[in-house]
Amino acid sequence: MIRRAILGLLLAAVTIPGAARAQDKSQTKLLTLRARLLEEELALAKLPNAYFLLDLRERRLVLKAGGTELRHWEIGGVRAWGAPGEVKTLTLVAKSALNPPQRVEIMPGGAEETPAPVEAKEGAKKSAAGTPASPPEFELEALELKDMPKSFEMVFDGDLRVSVRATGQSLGSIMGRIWSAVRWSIGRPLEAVYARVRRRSFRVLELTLTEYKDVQALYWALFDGVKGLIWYTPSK
Amino acid sequence: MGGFKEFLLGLLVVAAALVLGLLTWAYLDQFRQVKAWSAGAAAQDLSDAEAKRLPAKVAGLAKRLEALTPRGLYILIDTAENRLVLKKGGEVVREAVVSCGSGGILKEPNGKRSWVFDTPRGQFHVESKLTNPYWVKPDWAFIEEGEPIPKVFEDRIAEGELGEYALGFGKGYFIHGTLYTRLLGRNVTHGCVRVGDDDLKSVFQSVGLGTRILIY
Repeated sequence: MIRRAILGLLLAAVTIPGAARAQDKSQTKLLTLRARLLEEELALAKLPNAYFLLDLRERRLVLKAGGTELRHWEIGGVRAWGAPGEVKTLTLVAKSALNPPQRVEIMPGGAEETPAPVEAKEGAKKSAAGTPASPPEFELEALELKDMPKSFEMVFDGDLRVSVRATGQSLGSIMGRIWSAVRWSIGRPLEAVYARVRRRSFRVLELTLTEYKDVQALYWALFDGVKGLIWYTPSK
Repeated sequence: MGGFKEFLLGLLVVAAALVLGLLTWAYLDQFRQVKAWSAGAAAQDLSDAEAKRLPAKVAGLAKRLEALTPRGLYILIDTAENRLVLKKGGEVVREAVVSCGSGGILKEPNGKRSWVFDTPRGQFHVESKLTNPYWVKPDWAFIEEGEPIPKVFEDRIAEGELGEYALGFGKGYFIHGTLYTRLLGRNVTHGCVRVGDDDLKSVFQSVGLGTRILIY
């Protein structure tokens, strides 16, 4: 009995400091990452432009300017291929989509685009509760939120690609999901092998949002050249 | 014929084995990469003193970042939803339906100049406050209408188009009133932000010069 107790004490004496050291190391690692993230964000916040913060652990993308949150999106699902990179500011180089929005070219002296001034209809007026009502629906020669794609891919510097789509429920989206699963589990690994052969880094993120309107809003908000940070903590 | 079938089958088996092998390699490599990152990407060799200073450093940085958040009133404009929100800290003081830039492109007929009618995005400040403003029509306004660009300054002045108030936020962009209230909530402007009369009056009276405007 005493021998067992001594053995237990010895074991504890060996393992507890080790566990504590590991805990310290993990905490230090987390704080190092956090400090780096804050330093990078502080630099971005001092610029006049908007920037984004994508927290993969919390599954949240926040659009900010000057340190103030402008809008955020909750992310339903995240898939990643390749190792998370170091915490550093990324720049959106390009966006691509199957049906990218097209700007309307205005014809000088062409058809009058702006209708004659008229009184506001009820739809455009504020509701009694003070919240804005929906604007009237009619076709305009303008780039609007509804014209934004419902899925798209972003290319960031440092060979990072981020694709964004919405969780759909229609039959078409079931086919889409099958295609997406095949692409993810077979296509992406093969792309990774190809990148490895070419000695290039390969990092892909796939974000799934619950509403396609959120995807469209994200496409709108993240303009070419926008800078931001992707944040992933190895442990809490 | 049977031999050809066997050859094809053999080819298929070899291809499948190759793909399987590549996939296995890719998945193992992915596992190795993530493990390596997890073990060491952020684990720099910090001295004990540096490690001890880390919590204070993080707290200091977070405080500096928080200090950037506006304490008083500020204007938030969502160009996608065409919404303006007047906020004080986290509290919404007033919300309004507005019209932002159409995103259209106008090219000068001789091809020398072109304009993109986007509302600028980012961080701005109220630079001017004008009552009963008049619009000094820029060149593009005449080009768009197919009219000659006037040589006399007075010919550029258009009264009443900007409503009763205007808040300038730089480079010729304004938050102003509109005659086209039916189009509030739609992207129709040349970059300015059009606001309905009551909302404009309220925002105009609430904010002062230097008030922060955040547009996204």
